[in-house]
Amino acid sequence: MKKVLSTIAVFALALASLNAATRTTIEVKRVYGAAGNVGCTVSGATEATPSVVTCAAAHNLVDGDPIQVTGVGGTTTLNTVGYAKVTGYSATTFGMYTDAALSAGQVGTGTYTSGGKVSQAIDISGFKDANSVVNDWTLRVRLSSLTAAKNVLISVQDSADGFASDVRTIAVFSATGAYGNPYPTQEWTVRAREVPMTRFGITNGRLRIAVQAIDGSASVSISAWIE
Amino acid sequence: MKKALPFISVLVWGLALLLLSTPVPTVAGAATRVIEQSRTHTAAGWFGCPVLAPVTAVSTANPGIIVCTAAHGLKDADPIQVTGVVGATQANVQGYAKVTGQSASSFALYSDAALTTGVNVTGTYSSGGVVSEAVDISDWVDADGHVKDWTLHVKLEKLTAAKNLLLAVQSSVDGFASDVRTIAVFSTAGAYGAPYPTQEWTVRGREVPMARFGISNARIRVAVQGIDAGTSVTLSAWVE
Repeated sequence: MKKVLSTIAVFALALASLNAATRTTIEVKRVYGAAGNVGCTVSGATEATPSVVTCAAAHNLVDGDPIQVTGVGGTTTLNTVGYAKVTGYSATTFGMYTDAALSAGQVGTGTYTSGGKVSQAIDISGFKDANSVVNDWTLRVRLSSLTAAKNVLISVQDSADGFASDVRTIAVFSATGAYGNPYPTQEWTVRAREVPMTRFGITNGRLRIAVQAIDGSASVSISAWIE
Repeated sequence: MKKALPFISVLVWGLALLLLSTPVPTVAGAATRVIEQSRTHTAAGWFGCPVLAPVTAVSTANPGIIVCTAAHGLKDADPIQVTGVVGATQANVQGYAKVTGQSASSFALYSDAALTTGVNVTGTYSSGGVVSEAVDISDWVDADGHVKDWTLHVKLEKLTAAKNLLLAVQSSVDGFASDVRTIAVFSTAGAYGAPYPTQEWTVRGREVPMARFGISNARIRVAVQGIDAGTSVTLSAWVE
């Protein structure tokens, strides 16, 4: 019995470490109440370090979210990849950082004039092995909850220009909320071999989740990761 | 009479064999709606185009001619929707394209699939406009008004070897002007000749509750999201 237990413990440990070593988190139980992607249309930005970006609407970002800013006029130093800090900011503003640990602020240089978009942007450009061959990947999207009897249409999109104009939908999932939590945690899986034309392992390849549509008075909680 | 029976039987079997051997998918039938049949795409995009300038027509006998900024890929009687034309606003309708007699980047706009009634475009074109393939799915309801079950088929008939393709099926309720939802995505690499001897994907109604089947003004189209350079793909798509 003791041996069985220790075997199970070792197995569990091995599994946990495997999981930890290979998983790239896209989001954890993020709640969406309306169609759109995480991010926003920019309406202002400060000349400071870190630069504070003002959005035209709520951005739905969380601390440490990898983002890409494109098309900002004036404060052009912001048009790059970075990380969002939302703690201490309102629902429509965030501080932009250059590292996931949120220790180095993004320098904002130049007076903001117009334009700009912020998008969640998970870096998938490094998904290749030592021989520059695209690594195998498995994408998982898990519905943690969805308002009963309401519908949602979720897509996973990739881009090679930070979602400025190049946006490809690589997977689509749709569900109806019922029986409490859709069906006890509904999960979808997409394998690399099913979608050869993604940007995994491609220069500037980025990934995001976008709710294409959701019924009125409905909310959905989504987790997604790559392994 | 006895002699006639085997003859009829042979005739029936012959007909059945003929039907079975038809190279294109058997998309005929009352409950089947063809989105496209053996169409070839060589670049990303959908069938349709941004509008350059519709030439003003003076009567329904002389339908409005829509001039595109690039080749539209349309063929005769393709169902289309024109949106966003400023000036010659009569062109902003659901209609059908007639390409016979036109260049690769222009077509005549008709209001019926038989291409007998032209759309009378009397205004003067000023700017804008987008044309999109738009197959009507708004009537996909049963006698009680409930959305009917549906099965979407996308069949790859040919794809250049070792080249990649990313395909989407999209729905809209505004003629694809700004409301575009991708309801299904397929991707493949061409290999082994005709990808794998005719690759076919299927999506069922229950898998995508948020598609627009049976919804007012609902339209569907096929869009190539990405295709490798120097590649062509031939595909058919239909709903049944």
